[in-house]
Amino acid sequence: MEKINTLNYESYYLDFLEGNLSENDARDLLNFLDKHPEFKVDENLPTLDDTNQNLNSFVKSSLKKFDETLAISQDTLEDFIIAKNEGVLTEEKLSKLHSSALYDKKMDEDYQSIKLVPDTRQKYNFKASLKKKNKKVTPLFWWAAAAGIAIVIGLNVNWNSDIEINNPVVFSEKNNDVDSLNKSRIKNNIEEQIQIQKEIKSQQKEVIEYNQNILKEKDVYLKNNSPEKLLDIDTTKRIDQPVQKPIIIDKPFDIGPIAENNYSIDETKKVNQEDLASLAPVKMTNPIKPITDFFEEKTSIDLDYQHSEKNANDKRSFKLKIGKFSISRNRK
Amino acid sequence: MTTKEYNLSVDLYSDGIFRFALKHLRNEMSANDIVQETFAKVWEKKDTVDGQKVKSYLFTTAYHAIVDWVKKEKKSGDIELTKESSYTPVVDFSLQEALTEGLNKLPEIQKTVVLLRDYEGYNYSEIAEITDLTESQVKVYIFRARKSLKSFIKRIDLVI
Repeated sequence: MEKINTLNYESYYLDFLEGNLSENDARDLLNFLDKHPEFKVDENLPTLDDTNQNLNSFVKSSLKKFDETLAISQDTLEDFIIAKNEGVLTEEKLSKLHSSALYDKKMDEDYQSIKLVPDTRQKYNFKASLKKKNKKVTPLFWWAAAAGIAIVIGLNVNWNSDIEINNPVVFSEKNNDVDSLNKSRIKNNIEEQIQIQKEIKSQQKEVIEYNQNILKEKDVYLKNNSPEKLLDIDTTKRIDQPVQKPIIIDKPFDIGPIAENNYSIDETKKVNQEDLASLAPVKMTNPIKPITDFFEEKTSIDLDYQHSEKNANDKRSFKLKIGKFSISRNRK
Repeated sequence: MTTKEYNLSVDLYSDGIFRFALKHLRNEMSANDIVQETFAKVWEKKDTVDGQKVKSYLFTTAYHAIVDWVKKEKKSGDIELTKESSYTPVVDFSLQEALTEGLNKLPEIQKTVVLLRDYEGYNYSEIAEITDLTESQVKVYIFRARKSLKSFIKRIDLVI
């Protein structure tokens, strides 16, 4: 059985074209192609000399490797000229080549022209789609640092002032000191309420007693100076005249809940003045500007913190901004 | 490799890779795909790629992508070689046309080494690095390719 056949000749053929076939295998391949010319891809392929079964010079030369140490001969001349044009020939060999009687100037010029030149008008048109945006990735550390600052600022703010007034019960669950304070306030309020109610009741009592006394005096006066008695008229025939009775309050006034804004005139004035003062713009400053600037630069996130001076009620306004998130509170 | 270096490499080398792929595949769309695939792979490996050696890395990646493409297309028997392009060569029309024709008749590996040598000006050791060959093999392939191209040009001259 032949080594090269119709089933495997392709791999031998490719190796031959790439110059990787041994001399014996190359001979076998050419033998095969002589027998099966229909498989010849390149009509210019060399053919075997039928008389001596040796590879012709073309095949032989294609299988050789260039060795610069060899002498310049008819067989090696072409390789030396290629080497010269490739720029891999030493100065010594280059001068030998030029001085050699075998030197073929025409061949040299041919090889000089065999250089592929890129057509610079062939361009890739989708460069923009390949490019990447310089996306700055903020390390987790900086996020943690920013969060830490936010917490510190948050702790620095007096969050409790509104809560203890508006929602003492809820807040008292969280703060025992304020709880006791709230209880004492509530107790005081109740005591005040009871005292006021007592005063009102005593005043009502005085009014009732005064009315009763007047009625008594009136009855006595009428009894002594009645018209019937003065004119001696039969009272049984008299048309009763409506008598305007005094208003008698036999119940205490329903005083309702005690008003929260139980201000005196002076206190009201004071509150109004505070309200007016609150309308003035509050001056806000950033006391930790170097820190916020530093983190803003490092994280590329808008970071700002500002607060006002404490006002008379020991309250301050503040504004905290981290990126798109912001929180603020006005204390007036 | 930084993003800046990567974007710079797109500007500097995408045209070269495109031409390199186009000469191999002779199909503009496939050449575009090769360029895209090459840069996508380089971006994936950007943390390990040295910014100074990105050109070599790009051409190595492109070369392997071309080899894979050729293998795949040969298997499916679906190679559709369209006319390389509608571009008009800028230098010596007849010679470069003839060389291109001759180049297309070379084995893939010879075509590769000649293109890297002539188009990109790589030396033998750089070509060896890109193609996973030895320097000596590169030299042999280039010499054979030159001879083949010369004989091809000679045949055309005879025909004309």
